Amino acid sequence: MFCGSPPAAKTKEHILPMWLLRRTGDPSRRANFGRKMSEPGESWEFSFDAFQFPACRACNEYGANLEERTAPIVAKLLSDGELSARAAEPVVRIWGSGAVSGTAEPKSRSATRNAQCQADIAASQAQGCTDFRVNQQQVDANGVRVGTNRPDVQSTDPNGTRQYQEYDTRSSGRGPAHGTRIGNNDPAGATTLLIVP
Amino acid sequence: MSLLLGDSWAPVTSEVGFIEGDASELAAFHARWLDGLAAASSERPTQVTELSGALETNLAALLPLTKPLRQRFLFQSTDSAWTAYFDNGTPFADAASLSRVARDVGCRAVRVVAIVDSGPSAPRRGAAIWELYGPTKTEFLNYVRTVSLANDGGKWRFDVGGTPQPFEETERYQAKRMRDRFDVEMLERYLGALGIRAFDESFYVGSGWLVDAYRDAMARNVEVTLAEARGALGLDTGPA
Repeated sequence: MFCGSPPAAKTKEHILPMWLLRRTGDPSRRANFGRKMSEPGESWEFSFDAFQFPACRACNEYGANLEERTAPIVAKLLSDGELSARAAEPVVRIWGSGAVSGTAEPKSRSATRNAQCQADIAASQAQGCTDFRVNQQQVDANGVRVGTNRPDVQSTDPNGTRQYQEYDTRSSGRGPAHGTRIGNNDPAGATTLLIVP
Repeated sequence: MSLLLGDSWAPVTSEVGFIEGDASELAAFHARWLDGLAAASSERPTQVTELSGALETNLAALLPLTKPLRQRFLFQSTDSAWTAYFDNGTPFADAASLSRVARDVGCRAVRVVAIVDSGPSAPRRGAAIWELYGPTKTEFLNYVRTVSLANDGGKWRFDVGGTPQPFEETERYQAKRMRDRFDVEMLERYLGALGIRAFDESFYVGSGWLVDAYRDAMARNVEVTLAEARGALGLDTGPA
């Protein structure tokens, strides 16, 4: 359900996370999920915790990583607790990570990817990002090598957060696994997966 | 061969940059750019200070080193049309940021990385990197030419990109052993062809201009003395 490809090592992903269901009532409460097109007058009705879709294991793990970082932020919002801009940053990053390139018909996949990558680097430079590494081993904001994997682009933003960009095609499906690895190597960093035609 | 100041100011001098232009104007340009960033501090505007000491004295004004964000930048005059760039980042400076300066100012800039490899188990990985940036778009950003030999996590990696320059010893790039394809001596010759004597202290004459750009996010910065930074790289404590 994340990458659009047939699930590899299939798992079931809760569309609404269990922690959110528990926080807002009985996770097994029944809910209406819309009308059945094949049976007029009938509707899809089942418990919230059964609302699941198949997902690749890697995609699911990537989602779990994001969820883990998001849950305390949402909890604070729901309890009207104080939340600094920095503390909320993971949510902003996650919401921003679905950016899909709207480029023109590419000459080749790699050409499009390179063009997008360069445009993003130039934009990040203009915003004050530093310490770029392109296709090199993963290094955190303090310059410490944290993995032998090679994120497509790494840089440190003006707030001191290490930013990682992975460029992937919709059909490849490797992006989430790469994202998981990057996140595990540097939990303080922010990873953006970009789908490029 | 000896690196700049006998490498006693590494890692500050391990990565340096050179920009075509006047040091005071480039410092002022950099300060204006930093003040225009969204993350600029409203409390403490960026300050530019002229330094008239010898190179080592001017480098000392960069201390302490900071991470992850750089606070101080030195634009040092030379006896040529090039201005040298140093910053107070650790574990290394970020002279690659000069590619943006070259684009914005409309000039050439050079990134130089010269690190002698200390062996497979040492924390300091060797590198010889030469990058030439120009004012206009090229195949990759505004990178005119890149020649790089670097120990990336224990594995040597050699990369070339862009348009070969007339003074390059391109036959060396075919050497069987990767480490023989580029080295600090070749780097020095390439720089010499551009009129840059990066490792010669007498090249750095005239005033330096220190840009001190504090931003609110730097409250979380970690300060590191030069001796600590050198110690982390397995080097002696350096200048007193």
